[in-house]
Amino acid sequence: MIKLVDVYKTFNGQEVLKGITLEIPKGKTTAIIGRSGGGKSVLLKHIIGLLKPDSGQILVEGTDISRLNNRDLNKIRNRFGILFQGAALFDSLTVYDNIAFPLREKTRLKENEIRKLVDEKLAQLGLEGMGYKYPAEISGGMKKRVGLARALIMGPEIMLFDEPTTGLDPIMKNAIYNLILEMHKKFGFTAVVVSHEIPDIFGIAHHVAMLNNGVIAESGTSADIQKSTNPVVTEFISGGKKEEII
Amino acid sequence: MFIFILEKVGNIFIGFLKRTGRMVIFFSSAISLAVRPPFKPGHIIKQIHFIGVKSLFVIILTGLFTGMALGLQGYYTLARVGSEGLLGYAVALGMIRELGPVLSALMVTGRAGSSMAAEIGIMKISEQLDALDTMAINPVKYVVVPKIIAGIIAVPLLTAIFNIIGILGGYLVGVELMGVNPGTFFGEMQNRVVFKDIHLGFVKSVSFGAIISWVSCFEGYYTGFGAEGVSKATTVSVVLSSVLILICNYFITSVML
Repeated sequence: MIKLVDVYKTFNGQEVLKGITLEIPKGKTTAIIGRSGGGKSVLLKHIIGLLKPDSGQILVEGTDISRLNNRDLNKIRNRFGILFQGAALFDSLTVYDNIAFPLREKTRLKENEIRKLVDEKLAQLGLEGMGYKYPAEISGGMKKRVGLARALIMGPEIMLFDEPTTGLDPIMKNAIYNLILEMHKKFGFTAVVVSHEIPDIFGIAHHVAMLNNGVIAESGTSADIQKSTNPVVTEFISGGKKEEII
Repeated sequence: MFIFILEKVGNIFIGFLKRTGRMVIFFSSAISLAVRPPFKPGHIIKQIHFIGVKSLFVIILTGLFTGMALGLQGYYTLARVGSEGLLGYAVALGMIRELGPVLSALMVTGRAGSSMAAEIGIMKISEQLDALDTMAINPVKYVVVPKIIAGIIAVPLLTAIFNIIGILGGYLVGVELMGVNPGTFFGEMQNRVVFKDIHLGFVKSVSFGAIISWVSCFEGYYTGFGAEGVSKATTVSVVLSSVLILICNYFITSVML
C-alpha cells in the first residue's frame, strides 16, 4: 500500500535519510524502530507529505505523493490520521473541541451528530468528563489519548503513530498499546508506528523495520527481527553494553 | 581581504533578497487564499475582537495624552505668532494625517503584533500547524488569513478612535486649560480639514494594519526552534513592523500629500 523508494533527505548539509526503501503492507501494523534522533519522525513526515524528499519516491497506492500539488495531496491526506509525538493538540481549544475539530472543518455534520461521535470517542479512550478541559490542564497520557481520538474520529485508512508511548508510565503505555490493537482490529487500518520501545513494540507490530544511520538496517516480521543476527539490530534490542551500577 | 568583505556583503544582500521574497510570497498566498472559499467570518470577528477591542484601552489612553501634548505644544507655538485660533485645526491635522495612524499602529504592534507572532510561533513548534496540514486544512488559510483581514479592518477603526480622543485631549488643554475659544477651536477645524487629509490617514492606517498582521504572522510562521526561536520571532516582528510603519509613513505622505 505504501512504498518508499530510495528516499534521500538532507537538512542543512546533514544527511538524515540515505536511500530508504521500505514497503508498508496494507491492513498491517508496521513498526519503525531505531535510536533517538535517527530520522524516524522525519521518515513518518515524508509518508504523510509534510516533508518532501530530496530524491526518491513516496508511493501511496502507486501515487508518488512527493510530486503532487497541494490539492491532490490533500485528497490523499484525507485518508490519513496521525498521532504526533507531543499530541499537537490545539491549545486554544478544549479537549472536546479538539476531537470535534476535523468533523466541524471537514464534514457537514450537525452539532448533535458531532456530539454523539465525540462522546463515543471520549468514552472509548477513557476520557469521560474531560471534554471541557484545555490541553494545558491534562496530563501527558491524556493528551496522547485526545490526540488519538482526534486522529481516529474521521475513520482513517492509514494511521501513523509517532512515538505514541514515549514518556508514559508502564500502565498507561500498555493501555495505549491495547488501544492501538483494539482500534486496529475494529477499523482494520494500515498502521505505521515509530517507536524505540523494546520489547513492547514487538507485541503490536506485524512487521518491523530498523532504521540506523539513515538506512534500513533490517526489516521483516516481528519474529524475524527478534531472531536477527544483525549486530546493529541485536545491539539495539539488547540495549547495548550496560555498566553495573550497584 | 577585499574579496572577503565583498563575499560577506554579497551574502547579506542575498539573504535579504531571499527573506523579502519569502515575505512577498507569504503575503500573496494569504491574499489569494482570502478570496477563495470556504469563508470563515467567525474566525475574522474573533481576531477583530482580539486586535481591536482588546487594544481599545491602550489606544484611548495614548490618544488622550498625545492630543493633550499636541494641544499644549501647539498653543505655545501658535501663541508666539498670535494664531491660537488655529489650535483646533493644528491638532486635528496632526492627529488625522500623522500621529493617529502612526501611533495607533505602533501601539497595536506592541500589543497585538507580538502576541500574534508568539501564538503562531508556538503553534509551529508544537506541531499544531503540521496537524492542520495533515488534516488537509491549509494552515495559512486557517490561522494567517483571519489575522491579516482583521488587522486591515481593526487598525483603521482604532485609528479613528485615537484621532477623536486625541482631538478631545487637545480641546481639554487648549480650551479648558489655556482658554482658547471653543467655537474657534472647532470652527477652524471644520473649515480647514478637508477630505484629502482624512483619506491620507485612512490609506496609512489600512497599510499599517496590513503590515502589522503580515509581518507578525510571517515571523511566527517561520519561527526558529524552541522557546528561543519564538522569543526571537516576537522581537523581530515588533521591530520590523515598527520600522516598516515609519518608512511606509514617509513614502505614503510623500506620494499622497
